[in-house]
Amino acid sequence: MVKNQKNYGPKISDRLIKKVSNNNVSSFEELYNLSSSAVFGLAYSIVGNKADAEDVVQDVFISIYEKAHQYKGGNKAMAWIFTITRNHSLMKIRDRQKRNHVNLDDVYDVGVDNNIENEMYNENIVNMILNTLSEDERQIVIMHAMSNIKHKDIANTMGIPLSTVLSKYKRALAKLKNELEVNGYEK
Amino acid sequence: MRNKDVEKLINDSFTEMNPDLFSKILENCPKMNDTNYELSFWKKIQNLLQSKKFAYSFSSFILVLSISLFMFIQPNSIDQRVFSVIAIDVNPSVVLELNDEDKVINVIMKNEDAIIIVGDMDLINVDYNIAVNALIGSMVANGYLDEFKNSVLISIRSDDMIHEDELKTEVTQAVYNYLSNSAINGSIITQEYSEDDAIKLLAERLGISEAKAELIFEITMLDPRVTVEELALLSINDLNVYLESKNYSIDKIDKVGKASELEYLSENEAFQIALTELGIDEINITEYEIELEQEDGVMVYELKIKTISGDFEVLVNAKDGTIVVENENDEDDEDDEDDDQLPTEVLSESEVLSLVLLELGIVESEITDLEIEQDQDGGIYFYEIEFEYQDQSYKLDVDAISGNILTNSQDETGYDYKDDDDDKEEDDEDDED
Repeated sequence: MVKNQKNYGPKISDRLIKKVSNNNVSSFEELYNLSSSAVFGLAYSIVGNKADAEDVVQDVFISIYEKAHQYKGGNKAMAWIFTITRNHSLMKIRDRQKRNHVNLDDVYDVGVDNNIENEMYNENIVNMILNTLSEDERQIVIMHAMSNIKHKDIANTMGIPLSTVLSKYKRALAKLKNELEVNGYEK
Repeated sequence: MRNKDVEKLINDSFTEMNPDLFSKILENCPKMNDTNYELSFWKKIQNLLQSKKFAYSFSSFILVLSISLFMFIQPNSIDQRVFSVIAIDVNPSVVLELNDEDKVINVIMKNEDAIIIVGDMDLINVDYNIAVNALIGSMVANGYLDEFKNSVLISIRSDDMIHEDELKTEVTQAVYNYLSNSAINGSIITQEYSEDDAIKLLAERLGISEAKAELIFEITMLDPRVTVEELALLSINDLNVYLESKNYSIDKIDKVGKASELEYLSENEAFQIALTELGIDEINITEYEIELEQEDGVMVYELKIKTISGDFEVLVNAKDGTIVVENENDEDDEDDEDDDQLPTEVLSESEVLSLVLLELGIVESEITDLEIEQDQDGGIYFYEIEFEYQDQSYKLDVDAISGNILTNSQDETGYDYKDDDDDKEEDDEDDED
């Protein structure tokens, strides 16, 4: 039988969230396995470095554990998780600003040495995204690339019009394609 | 490099960089440790005893004693807990409730046909696969399943999601094999058995099984032009034919085999009936279109015929050939339709096209023969979009407000009419993609 899933992103059912709300550990682990990369990706795109992104991932899943019973259903689980991720990421930035008054550009993991290409391949891709795209563009592209959610749901999650999401997505992908080709990423 | 390739690169990079933090997270989720019901129960008892003073110890002792006695009197009570559910719908609708050893602990007959099917079979404490085979065998023997009606809806739920997937595969395979051995090319739709109260209420209101209610609810969620009331009137085989004719891509549904259309007229027979009814000479036809549809719960062929003297739309009952509806549209009528007041939130043609091409991962400059028309059905505005791309013809219906793709002629997601070898090749291609 052919499984009905052409895309590579997670498919999270309302039922899985319901089971998490009943404190079912295996369901919670399944949810984590399905969605943590997407959460990590979006968090990274907002907070700009791996250590903070990892903190956000932990905060997000603890929030999911605490708030799963509040999830209203409607097959929008991934959009709900992304909303929580954005909130925690923005809180992380706010906390960081309060503590250090650090310029955000300074905390981004940029300028990784390309000489050790194999080891740093993934980091380089991520840094390229951080350097090439605007904040909105990053979030849109990562939400779409890391999950099955539709542009319409991204628009709702970010609170911006669908047409803006579409145009930013198009522009972002064009920029990335160009950057990837210039840097010889023809994977 | 295509959009999909860029997205895959991003996905792979973040996925590989993502560390496993689950154990750390779990440390902050104390209630998640209460997985063992009995353990937590005893802990509660223990807490109760500890928290109360001596004055309550006697009553606590009585409580523990009562529970112990209860468990002693019903030694098999854990075995009787419903762990998994298998619902089989043809038109007889039977639900098997299983314990955690996959033995049948309850058989629920959802309609009168189910009572005939189950008859005097005693399926309690029988392995689920034996029970499923017995029920399908009875459906074949009683004429509910044959080469004319070959569709079975299987709905499964289990407390263990991995086991649920196993059951879906095994039950589907078992039913398919049984039908093959009975010289029937079966078609099996598999879905999750819903626990949703709203679905239960819907099933009750429409007088159908919960499994069928779940299926038609999913269809109406995808395509708001149809109503649950209409779809409830269709048999499982008709619903299966309808799913195929519309090429719906429903995430929650898997399917094997092709629905039988032996009860149906051919498109050409319906076409000839329409011409005879309308008194049209084939030579005067400039263009025509035939689609298998449902109208008020009846399967029909919808024929749109353009002739040199006018345009016609006819609905022909797909089984008995009777004319259901007949309309003649002249140019003025079409203009009137176009002048209908559109809701303000309707997306423009260019917006909807951008959205669709993005969803499909197609670059606009690479498509040819583009045609976009706006239409309305049951109060729902939608665009009919047709184009050619890489030698493939695409025909889509797209919701004009949400931009959701309602139907896509190229979409065979969830449908598998090929043999296993072809599937494997297709899977390999997907992997490469």
